[in-house]
Amino acid sequence: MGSEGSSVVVPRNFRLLEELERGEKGIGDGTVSYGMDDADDIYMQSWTGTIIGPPSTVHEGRIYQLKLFCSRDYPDNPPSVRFQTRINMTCVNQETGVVEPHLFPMLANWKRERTMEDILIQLKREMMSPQNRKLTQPPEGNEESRVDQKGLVVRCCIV
Amino acid sequence: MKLTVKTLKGSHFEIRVQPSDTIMAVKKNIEDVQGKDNYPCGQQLLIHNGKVLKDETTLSDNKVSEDGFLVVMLSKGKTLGSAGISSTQFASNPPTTVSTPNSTPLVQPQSANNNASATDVTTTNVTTNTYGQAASNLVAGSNLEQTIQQLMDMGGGSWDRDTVTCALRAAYNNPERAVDYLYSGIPVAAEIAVPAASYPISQTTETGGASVGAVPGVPNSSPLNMFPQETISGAGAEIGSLDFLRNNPQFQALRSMVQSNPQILQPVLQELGKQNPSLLTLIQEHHAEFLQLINEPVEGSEGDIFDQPEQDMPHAINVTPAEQEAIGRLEAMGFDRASVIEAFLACDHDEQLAANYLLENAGDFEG
Repeated sequence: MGSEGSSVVVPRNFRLLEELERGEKGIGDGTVSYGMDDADDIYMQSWTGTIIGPPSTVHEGRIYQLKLFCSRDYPDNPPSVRFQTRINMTCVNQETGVVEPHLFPMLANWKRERTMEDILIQLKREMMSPQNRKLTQPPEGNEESRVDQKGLVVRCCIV
Repeated sequence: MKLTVKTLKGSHFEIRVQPSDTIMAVKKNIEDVQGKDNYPCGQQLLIHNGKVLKDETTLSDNKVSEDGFLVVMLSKGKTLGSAGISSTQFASNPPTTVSTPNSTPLVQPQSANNNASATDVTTTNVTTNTYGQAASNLVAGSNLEQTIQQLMDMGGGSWDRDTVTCALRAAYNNPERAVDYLYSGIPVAAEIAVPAASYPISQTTETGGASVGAVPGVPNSSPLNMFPQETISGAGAEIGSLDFLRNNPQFQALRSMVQSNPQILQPVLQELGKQNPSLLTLIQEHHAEFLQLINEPVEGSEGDIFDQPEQDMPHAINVTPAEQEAIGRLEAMGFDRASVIEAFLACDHDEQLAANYLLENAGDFEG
């Protein structure tokens, strides 16, 4: 349907279903993957993704779990992206793990044609950038400390 | 159902699994297919639709469907899940190995202590059964020669026959104890006791550390000790104070003995009364002053102090088997024998009081 040109506007649900299908089929190199957080969510708002740390960086061997929230106006507006795994990156808030749009160009200059996979791939490229590849990373195994924030964020977004 | 597994290197392979299989079973399946060297199941991490799958869940729990795909990667052994458990299991092995050599040294000191304890028990003849058990550690007669030869061989030529014989005698023919003496040297007390081994009062001799030459002379030493006092007493004023005793060498020796062993005072006074009744009367008249003189710090010559205690020590120390056991227990607490005996007698043969005394004054003894 994308090949039909920009004149055709794909509805939100069809877009999300297409992304879900791509996530399940695993087109790509496998270093990023994503899927719905809850399969019963009829609005398909809450998603989960993983990025495997690229080699030759401090992120090598790490698996970063993220939460992506696609509001009703997605894909006209970008989703909110938050790291569940602790990470030290220039575009990520250290306390909350939220990817700051003003520091992440893909979110700041959002285009409708972008997908969640593109966000994950771009984040992975950001890990390989000169300013991020050698930053000292927090110790692994602290994922549990963000569980409460996840619920809080979801609750706020729903309201 | 078939499942496609992707690797980070870009390759992929298929495995056959059931929806009810656990993630751990899937990992073992991958290990079987790809080989243990490539993907050990303890280090595998499986990712599906952006989620890291937990080992205890099943494929259906994670909604892995037919023709779905997983991404497999290897952790560095520090991550969560079975990798952590496997690492813990592996880590538990080295401590087990380390503990094995630790147990060996523990056994040897215990064995040595048992031998020493058996020897002490033998000395006191507490029970026939204990004596019978201890007898197996002692050698005599025809076995003595064989033991001497073995000890000489053990030393590799560094111990001659006379040294080995001397050590065995000091250890009452206990080979284990003799080896200890050969390595660390024969204690002075035990060495002094060697010539007196054949005497029936060997236990008393060992306890007091007195030389054998003085033991037969003990009955004669009292009159000799008191004779100079009689002379000096005659020269002194009858109704004068006891100040003349302050500079008397015999009195200084007596004072040092009484301070180290208070129980000796009464027998000495009785003996003094026999030799010099007038002096005893004088002491009784000035009882307080006499006690004050007795408690003054010792300032006599070392020669006198050294000789007099040796002569009179066998007199004072007369321990029963029960008291010997108590002294052994106090000695096992880590104090040396001389301090233990001193505290035990000072506390009127009360083991508990002696223990408290030793513990409170541990610093003094160590210094």
